[in-house]
Amino acid sequence: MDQIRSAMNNLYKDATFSQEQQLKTFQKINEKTTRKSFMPLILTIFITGCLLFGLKTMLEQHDNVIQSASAVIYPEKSGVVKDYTALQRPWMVVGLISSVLLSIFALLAIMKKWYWRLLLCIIIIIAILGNMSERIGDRVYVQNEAEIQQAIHWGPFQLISSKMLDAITIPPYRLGYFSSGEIREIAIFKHDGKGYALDHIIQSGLENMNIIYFPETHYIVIPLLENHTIEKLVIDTGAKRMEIVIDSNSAQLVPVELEATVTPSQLIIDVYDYEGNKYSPYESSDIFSY
Amino acid sequence: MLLKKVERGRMINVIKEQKDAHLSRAMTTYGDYLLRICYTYVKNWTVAEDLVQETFVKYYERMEQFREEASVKTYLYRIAINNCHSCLSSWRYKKIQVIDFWGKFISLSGNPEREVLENEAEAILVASIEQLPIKYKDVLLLFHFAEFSLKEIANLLKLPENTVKTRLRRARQMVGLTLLEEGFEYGSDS
Repeated sequence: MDQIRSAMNNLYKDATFSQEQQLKTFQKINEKTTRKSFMPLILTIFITGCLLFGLKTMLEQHDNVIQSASAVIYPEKSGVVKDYTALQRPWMVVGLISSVLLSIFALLAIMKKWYWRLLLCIIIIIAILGNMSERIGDRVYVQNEAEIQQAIHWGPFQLISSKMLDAITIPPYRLGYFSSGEIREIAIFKHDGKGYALDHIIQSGLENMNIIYFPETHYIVIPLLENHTIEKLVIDTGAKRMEIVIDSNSAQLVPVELEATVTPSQLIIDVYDYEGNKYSPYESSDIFSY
Repeated sequence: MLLKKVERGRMINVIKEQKDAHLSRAMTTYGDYLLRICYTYVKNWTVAEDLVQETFVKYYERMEQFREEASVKTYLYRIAINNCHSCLSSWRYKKIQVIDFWGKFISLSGNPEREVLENEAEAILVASIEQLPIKYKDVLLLFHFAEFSLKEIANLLKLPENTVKTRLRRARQMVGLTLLEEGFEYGSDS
């Protein structure tokens, strides 16, 4: 007889698969055939439900939207919704794919009864989704001046006591003009098909307030400071000369429509005060093209 | 209709009885060997018994697939070894190992029976088999204990035959057996 076989049989001679063990085996077989466990299925449904609920709660916590049905071309909408464009970033895509793969593995772990791996998997999924949800920004929609004033608080630079000076709409843009001490801020809302959403905030001091040019609509917007002495703006495009009368000395945004062929570098902007004096405070090179 | 149902019920009972009889026979024939082989992996009789029970449960579920006695033996050993591998990598087993370790550490007393046995040559050989890495233990036990041929082991473990030969040779060197002692010439399992 083989040396190893005989050694093992001699050493383990007391170890036998007894009648009692055989009975236990039959009991296990009967348990399996009579009662099928629904535990993995229940767990799968429960965990999937928890994940979906958690994801929904995390992603839709600010979705409070009022939509007006009246507007046709540029429908109006107000409120704050999640901005999912962040999900298109490479690392976010990696996170999404990882979450999906981990979810599949979690299901496999349930089937294989690898509960520790399942727990680890769920923790990693929650960590990834939690991290991703933090990176998903908010999209602020505005319909009126009050909402524009509220929306400025969602911007990156929050003025402590900002005062709204003016608000204009040049479809598909809506602009809000704010002041706080020596700082001026112009919030630009762009229509995204659903409503006017906060897109950009330009912040500057009094000395370097720039004209904004919107190439899409061929408009320029000229910001005027409080208590200005300007009575008339004269804009020379080379082919055409436009005169715009300013009827108040309050701070305001003056929109001027240009012809499609005109570029900002061609513009010559002159300013006349109430005494008829002419100034040229705006250089064409300083025009900010949006 | 009712008759058909009664007939089907009777048939199911007959099949079940046949399966039970087959299982009893398999447990009597292979139970002890499987228990011993499982023990060399997990070094715990309770765990080994559970693993053997699981092996037979799996066999019962797939009993219809086996017609030849040889395939039953191969299947049982394959399932038993797979169960052992799974058990060794499970948290449950690691927990038991840690508890055992602390139990031994606290009591500071070994197993006197074991100590006596370890003085014997056979006990030393078996102890050295228990200490083998799993991949070497697989081939050594299947070849020497379960008496499978190299070809059968290669099929069972899904390994090339040459790999099995190499592992067997190394396993023997590790447990202190020489090829000569076993009457084994390299390259053959005669």
